[in-house]
Amino acid sequence: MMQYECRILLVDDETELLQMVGKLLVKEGYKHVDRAADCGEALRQTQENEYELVLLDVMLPDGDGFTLFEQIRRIKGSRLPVIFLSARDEDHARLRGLGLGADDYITKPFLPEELLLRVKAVLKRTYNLEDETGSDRIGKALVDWGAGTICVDGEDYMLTAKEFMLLKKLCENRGRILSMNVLCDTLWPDGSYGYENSLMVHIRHLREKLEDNPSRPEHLLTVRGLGYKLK
Amino acid sequence: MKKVEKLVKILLIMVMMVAALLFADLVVLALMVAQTDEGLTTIPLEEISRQLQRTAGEDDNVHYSLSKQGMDIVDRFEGFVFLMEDTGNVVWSYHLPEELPLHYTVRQIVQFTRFYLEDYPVFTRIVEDGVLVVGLPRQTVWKYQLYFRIATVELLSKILPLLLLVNAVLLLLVPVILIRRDAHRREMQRTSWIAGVSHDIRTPLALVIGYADELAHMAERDMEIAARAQRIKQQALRIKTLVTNLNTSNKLAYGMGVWHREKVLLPAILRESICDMLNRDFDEKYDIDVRIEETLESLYVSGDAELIKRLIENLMNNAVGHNPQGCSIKISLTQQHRFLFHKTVLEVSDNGCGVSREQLRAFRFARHSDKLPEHGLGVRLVRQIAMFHHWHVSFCNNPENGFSCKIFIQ
Repeated sequence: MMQYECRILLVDDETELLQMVGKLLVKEGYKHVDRAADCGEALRQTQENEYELVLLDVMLPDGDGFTLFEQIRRIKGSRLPVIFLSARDEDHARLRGLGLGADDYITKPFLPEELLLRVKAVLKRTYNLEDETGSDRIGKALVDWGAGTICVDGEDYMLTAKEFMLLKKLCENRGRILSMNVLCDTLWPDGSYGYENSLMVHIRHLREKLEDNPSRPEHLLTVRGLGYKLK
Repeated sequence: MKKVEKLVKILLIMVMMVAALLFADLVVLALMVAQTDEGLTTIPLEEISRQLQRTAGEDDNVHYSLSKQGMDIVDRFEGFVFLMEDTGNVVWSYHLPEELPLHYTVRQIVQFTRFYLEDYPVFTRIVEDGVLVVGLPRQTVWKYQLYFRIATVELLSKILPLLLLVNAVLLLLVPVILIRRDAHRREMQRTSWIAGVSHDIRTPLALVIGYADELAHMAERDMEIAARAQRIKQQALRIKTLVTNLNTSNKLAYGMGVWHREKVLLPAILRESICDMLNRDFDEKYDIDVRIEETLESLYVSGDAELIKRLIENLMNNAVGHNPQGCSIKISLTQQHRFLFHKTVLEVSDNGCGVSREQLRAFRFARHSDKLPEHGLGVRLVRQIAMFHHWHVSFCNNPENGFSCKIFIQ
């Protein structure tokens, strides 16, 4: 499945926000974006159509998003990813949403690009879109996620498991700085403290495969004291 | 708080007024009783018995009479007196009503000593010749016998002062509790109102940011329009920060928020919040320098991760807000050693223009007040978050230039 083929249902009682987010997704390239202004309409649409993602407001005129989320999950099963898009920023609301099994919780107001990134990340994570699209281009290098290789100037380099995980995380958040703690958590989820030097070794190995001049990287950049960013 | 203090004062004055009124009522009642009783309830039996004169008659019998003073006393009450021998015979009387007998049985004596004699309230006193009985007109005195166990009286004598003390404390405490409850209700209303505004403003802000972003992309060729759209977006984000700060500050001030105290890895939180800021269209004219001492990479603190992120974000926003021309922002986590002690210090400083003396004073001595500050809500929140975590916070202008905030963590 291609990323932009994914069908998305937007549920929000604010018609103008519904239109704006819909337009934003369509402009980004998503071909099927449906809108619903209340729980009843959202349930009807989920029963009649197949969706790959639902963006769900918490406060709706005829019910709350949490209950609607549970109803949708009952109809469609846990495979259908849901992102809450809510004006409620309290911890307990966020925790309730994520605790129910939502894939993400975005608080209004949000930056449009952040919303697009999070939508993309959830779709990629749920449907393994890399396997479908197959590759990501980083400068001259072409990453083949299926084969787990980086191809530069016709030459293939195998990615180790850790390099694969690291590069995948960086690609999912391309253009954003990721702190070394977040990257360490990705590589060593059981306890990442003390692995900063190991992370640096993996970054160096990745640069050797990705960059023309690993000591002067142009794509995998160091943000001093903080972490790394894939341009 | 001033309103609460005023209310407490008003209530205390009211309590004192009620107490004074009660006292005045008691005095009036006592005066009225004294006026109507005319001393009826305190018959001067002893005085009357002293005024009873005995003279030996020619027949060797004792003759009784009442002195002029004694008669005056009895007349004042419009009463009567008689002397009864041990045999029950009346041997002398003064103004004795006709219907009363001149001999009394033991049963009658027992009855009238406790209650009435033919509806006349009577009082008795043992004298050398027998029993002196002083009577008053009918329907003038309510007479009743009261009995208490000694133990009860002793208990009452112990409990009564305690009860009075409890009453006094209650009298003072109840208004204070009522006022506190009212203040709490107001605080709840205020917090809910701010939370409501904060909630309601988020959707319009999302629209402003979304449309400004769209406009910036549409006008990519017109640099001026794109820049203005970008500015709208930045200002909308600023409003978001302000509203969130106001909401958080209010919740912290009135203890309404749901905050956690859990073990958090401080360097990770620090980096995450800085990354979040940088990933959010952070202006490139601000240079960020992050330094975390290697020994502190494993520093866990007990606190609320969201509040700590807000603290860092506010300090960075403060540096940005005070230096629109751009500056370097240095964020460091170090250990400072003094004699035998060492402290972990989180410092956010910039090399910008610093802050005025008045602002610095406001940052240092900011106390909670009903008046909202015109500026510096972000720094006020930094102070509140530091206090929540029991951290010490200090603000100063750097000797060379710029502003610095140090938070002493341990």
